Amino acid sequence: MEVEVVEKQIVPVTIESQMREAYLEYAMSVIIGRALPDARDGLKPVHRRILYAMYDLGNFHDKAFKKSARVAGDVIGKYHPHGERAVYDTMVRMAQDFSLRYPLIDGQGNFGSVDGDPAAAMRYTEVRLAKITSEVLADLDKDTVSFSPNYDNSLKEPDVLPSRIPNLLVNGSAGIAVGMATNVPPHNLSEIIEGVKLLLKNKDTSIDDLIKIIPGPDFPTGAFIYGRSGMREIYRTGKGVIRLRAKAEIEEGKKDKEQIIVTEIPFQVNKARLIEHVAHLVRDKKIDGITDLRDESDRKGMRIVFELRKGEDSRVILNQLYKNTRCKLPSASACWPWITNSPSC
Amino acid sequence: MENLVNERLTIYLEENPTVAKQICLKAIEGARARMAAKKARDLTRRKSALDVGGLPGKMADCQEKDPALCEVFIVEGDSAGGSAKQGRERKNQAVLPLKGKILNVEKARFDRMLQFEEIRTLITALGTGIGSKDFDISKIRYHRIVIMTDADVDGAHIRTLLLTFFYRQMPEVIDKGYLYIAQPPLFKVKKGKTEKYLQNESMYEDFILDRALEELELKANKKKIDVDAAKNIFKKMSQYENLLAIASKRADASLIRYVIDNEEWSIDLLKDQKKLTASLKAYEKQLKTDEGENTKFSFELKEDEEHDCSSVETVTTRRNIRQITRISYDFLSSPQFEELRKISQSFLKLGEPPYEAIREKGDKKEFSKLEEMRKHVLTVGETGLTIQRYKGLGEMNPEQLWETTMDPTKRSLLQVQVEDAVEADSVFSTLMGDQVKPRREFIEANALSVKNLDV
Repeated sequence: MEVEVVEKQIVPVTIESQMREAYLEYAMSVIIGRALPDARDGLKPVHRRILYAMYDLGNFHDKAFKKSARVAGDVIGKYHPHGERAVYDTMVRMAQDFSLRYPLIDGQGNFGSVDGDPAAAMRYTEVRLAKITSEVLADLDKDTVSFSPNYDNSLKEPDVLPSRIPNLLVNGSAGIAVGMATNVPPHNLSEIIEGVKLLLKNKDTSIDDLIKIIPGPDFPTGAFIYGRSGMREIYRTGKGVIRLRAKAEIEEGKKDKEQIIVTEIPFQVNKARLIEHVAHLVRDKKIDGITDLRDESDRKGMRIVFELRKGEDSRVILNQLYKNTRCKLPSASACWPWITNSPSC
Repeated sequence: MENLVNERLTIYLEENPTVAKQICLKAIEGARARMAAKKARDLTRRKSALDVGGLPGKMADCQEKDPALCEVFIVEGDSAGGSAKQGRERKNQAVLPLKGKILNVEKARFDRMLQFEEIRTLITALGTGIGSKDFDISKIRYHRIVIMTDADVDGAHIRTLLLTFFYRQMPEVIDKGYLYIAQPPLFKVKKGKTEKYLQNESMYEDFILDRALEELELKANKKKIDVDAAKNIFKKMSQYENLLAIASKRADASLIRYVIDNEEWSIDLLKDQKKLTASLKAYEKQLKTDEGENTKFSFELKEDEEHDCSSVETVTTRRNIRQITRISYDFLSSPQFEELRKISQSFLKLGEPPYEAIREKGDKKEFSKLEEMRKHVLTVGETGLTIQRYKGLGEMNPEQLWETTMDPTKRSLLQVQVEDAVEADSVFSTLMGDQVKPRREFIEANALSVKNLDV
């Protein structure tokens, strides 16, 4: 079988220039348009597009819920030409009260749990904007921010949202781009507002005075911050490490046995995996003295029980747990984001 | 007993080092043999893992068996794979869809790379084997390996990953000139029933400008502007606007434009505080006329001891959003600045304002700025057209993909070559290696030269 091929055009190119061009295109797009939040509204483009699509749909906190699939479809079709899985996962995270300090979306249905259970499929769940999100979108229609054409030039989308709340600081944000990354921990809204008020009164307020009002991050899952120096380092330099510890109590059990009860775990720790991990440690004799562990969490809250052998010192075991598990973890090595959108932090 | 033997034996071996040495050598030799045997075993096992069952299931092979006539299209994902399979010429074109992003082989160890499913599929499909011992270029099943990824940024990323794989693991494929990159169109322009595909931004601009300049007559200061000159300058202007748009992500764009267009601005100006202040005041005045009183502007001169001059820090406030712009010695001496200045000066060749655009029918529009005229020309060029910008190959019908990208009589392919081996090697280790710092430096240094930014 003879195949006759008359080539129209073959252009030689060097691998170096192809690599440079393609890589730069990818890297810059990821840095500017995907992985890092804008300092002004604390949102990455996908978040902003979800909120704007919901605003467009009139899906407000005082209106009826709408099916997640409808919202996701709108987001993809109108503003964000990517996979529906990614968009729905982002929506789910924005509705989880253990992921966001102040969830921006109000969800109806199963939106997953700290155990890492996935949310129900998007055809089941329903969403609407959370009440606080009205403040993020306030006055959007009053020519407050600039708009740009969407991907196919048929609609316009906002470049930034005119947020009244300092969303980057209250909800935090984490993102890995190319050659740079950011990780801002969440904060308490009242504390941040007090800090803003102080800055409005006196713009030269020192960082130490601000730390008096905003002593540290405030994580949605509670737990303790262990050590202040890392935290302050972040406020002063933008870089540092925050260590978190689970909140644990010691209870007297039956027959003089003691129990360690964990009621709060660090931010973004998967509870089911944590328990599995401890079980492994106990089986491998890395932690000695635990006879049983159970997850007694229920609708009233979290409760993980570690039963100790009779006569064991509960404080020693607790220290071993802290040392060996993700109960204590470096949570935020922060590099402040993109204040001005330039590729330097 | 154990202790006794240990004690006596130690003494004996210490007294007779030759015997001790022989025993050690024997042990080492044994270990080597065992390791070699294990390696050989692994090798055969690996081979069988790759050879088993012939070709991967997702692959659509071609009828032709002579490698010199065969080509394989490596496409991204099943959405594009479907279009390509239905659109190909089955006689000599094979299609291999790869799912998602393949492993970065620059960072991964050899054995981890071989565990990666999509890479194994690729190696099997090419038929060459892998590794210094097993690789055999004469067994290659296609003499044209065409990377055909989507025209979006993820496509660009997958292209870099595939190039890395071929460069590091199959350099002979590149040396022999077997590796190609397909060029799917970026735009489809439709008017009524005629359709036209355009491969890149530059061709698109040509098309739009040609269309507009057929209808419009342009004048500068009452003098007619030559069509080719206008086209040339407008294209340069769009490049200039792109550069400015990227620069303005971190600064007040209109100030940067002022600094570039105003030839007074140079390193010497930074040394003359009086003139510098006057120029900034002039800008403030211009800003107030252009944008009204709501836009606020202030500036501060700072000492730059290192270069013995001032540096400027300005604050522009629009819609209550403060933009801080710094103009320093470094900026005015940067190659980007030089380039922008050069382009800006070439605009003057078109002539002085007022600029006019006259339609054949007779209606006339006047502009005081060249940029405004360019925008008008583009709008005229785009009227009546349906413009589609392709993001993925799956957006195209199979026959469209064939016509534009796969048909040998119509397509245009890029043949990948290595010109400077040292340079290529350093590019791969910078961009794909595990050191973050050089990569970051590369991005910062080249941020302004990015061609296609997709947000």
